[in-house]
Amino acid sequence: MSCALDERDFRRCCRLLLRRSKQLRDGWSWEPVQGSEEGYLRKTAVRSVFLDPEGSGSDSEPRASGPSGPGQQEEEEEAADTDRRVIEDEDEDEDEGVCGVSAGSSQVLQYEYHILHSCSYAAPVLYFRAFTQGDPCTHTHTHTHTHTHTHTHTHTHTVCWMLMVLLMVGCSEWFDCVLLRCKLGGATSSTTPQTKGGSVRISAKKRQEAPKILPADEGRSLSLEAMWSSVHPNYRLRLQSSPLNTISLQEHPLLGQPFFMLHPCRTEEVMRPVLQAAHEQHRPVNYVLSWLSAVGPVVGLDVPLKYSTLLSPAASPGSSSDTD
Amino acid sequence: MADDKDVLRDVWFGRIPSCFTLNQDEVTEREAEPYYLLLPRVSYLTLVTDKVKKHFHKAMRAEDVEEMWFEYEGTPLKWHNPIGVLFDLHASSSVLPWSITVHFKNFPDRDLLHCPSSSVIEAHFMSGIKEADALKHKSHVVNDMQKKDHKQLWMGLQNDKFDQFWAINRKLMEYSSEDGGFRYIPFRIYQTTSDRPFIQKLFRPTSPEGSAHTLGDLLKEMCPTALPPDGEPKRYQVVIHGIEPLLETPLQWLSEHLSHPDNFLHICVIPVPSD
Repeated sequence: MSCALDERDFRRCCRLLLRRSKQLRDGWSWEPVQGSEEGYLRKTAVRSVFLDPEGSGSDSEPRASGPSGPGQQEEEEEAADTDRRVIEDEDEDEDEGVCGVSAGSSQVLQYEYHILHSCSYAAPVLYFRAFTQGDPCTHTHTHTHTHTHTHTHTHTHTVCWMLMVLLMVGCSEWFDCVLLRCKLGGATSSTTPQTKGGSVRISAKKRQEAPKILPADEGRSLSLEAMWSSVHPNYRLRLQSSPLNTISLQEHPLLGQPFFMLHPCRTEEVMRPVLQAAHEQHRPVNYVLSWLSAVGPVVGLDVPLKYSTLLSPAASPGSSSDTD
Repeated sequence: MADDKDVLRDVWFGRIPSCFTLNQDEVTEREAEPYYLLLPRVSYLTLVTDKVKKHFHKAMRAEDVEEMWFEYEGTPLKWHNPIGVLFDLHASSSVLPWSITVHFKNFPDRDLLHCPSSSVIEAHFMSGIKEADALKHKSHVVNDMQKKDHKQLWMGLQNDKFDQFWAINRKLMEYSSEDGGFRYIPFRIYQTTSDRPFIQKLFRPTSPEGSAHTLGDLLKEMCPTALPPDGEPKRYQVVIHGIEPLLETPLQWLSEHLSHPDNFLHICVIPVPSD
């Protein structure tokens, strides 16, 4: 059974997703390329995040560093732990275990998500970028994305979620704990280290400049460095030691601008059990939707559960999938 | 006729004489002389310009120095493209040495990727190798390699060691005789006239009937405007490593011999220079 997604099937999955997105008013649109059949899905979202210029991820108390080995039992516990921790975060007034000392402020970020098709990997790929907006918010921040839906996921979604937790240890928490710092003013000095496993420090000079997030900082893009500096060192170690299973800054293949990209080379591993299960149960699967429900939350992109109710075979003939 | 292996060496050791000049708006403490350097075609700007950085840093105060970036005639140069590609695409019709402007401020982060360290370059390079193998061998060859083999590819490039690099890279250039070639050819076509950064799609080295696809076949399918219309003079040059291969050249051969170290064929389509 092939886990490859060719371009034609990709477009078909996108059409289905789009139809449902319109019904749910979820904001996805199709951006064609120069009048050709090629294109990508696009969505923007505004998220209020808590910016912590003083503290860093390393100030937080250590978390479990991720699954230590194979074994379904272990994996499930790990995933459950993650979900639980995530929910706990939301209940706290401040991200105590995560932010550390701070006198930060909330900032509104404009996120843009693109889903493209990679012909090399026969898989969908997620690209995203974020910009600051002018308006600072009050200190009481809101998580505009939730993780509560993981507990009510269908079996398919739960499987995806667990697998993604395995593959991207802690990434979901990283974004959930909203330690995103924007790159302000000056940037890397020539001595900024990019270490394997150590904490990535923004240069001392920059920290002094960092504190205020003014309306004048409109349109600043999130830097890769700022992202990594917000990742807890334990997770950073794991992610940076296998740089191809992670997020990096890449040139958008259609637009030519810098975007963050979730590397697609492990997509088949994630999708295989999903497709297998669906195949055995004679259930149609929207490859792109299933994949998105797994990777999306990792980067703060919500995929409401209601999407999955589109694909009951009785509903419409066009929805049956032939991903086999 | 040159041995095929000589071609590999010629490609690897290709150099572009360049002159790096500091942007005149940079604040300096003393006069900064231009810096001359022979740039390897197959490498990346940020990998080979440490000396450039050191040279200009000496003339500037630390607080005036941020991430270094390069520009040619107003166009920011994308370090993640091989140097030879940047030259062929933007500067091939100009007089040598290639005159590059160096900046230390106002990094254009809507145009350029940041490059804080060589591990970023390594990740990008290895990413290219992996993607190329996904196309050529469904990733089997690269995934069967050990981590030290991956490292050797990178070290070979970083330290300009042809033999060290090709000891491993030759495995990525193999295919079984019954296949007649790779599964798909890893290529990217660049054109400055397009908004799109490059064209990259699936393309097989042989036709369903078994005949070898040529460079001309590839262009006809992917970039037909690059080919001269019948009877008319050609308006574009199709350049790989600074030369124009014959359009009849088999694509499989080009992929094996004229690929960059990342295993991609980087093809520039540029307007014929009007003298």
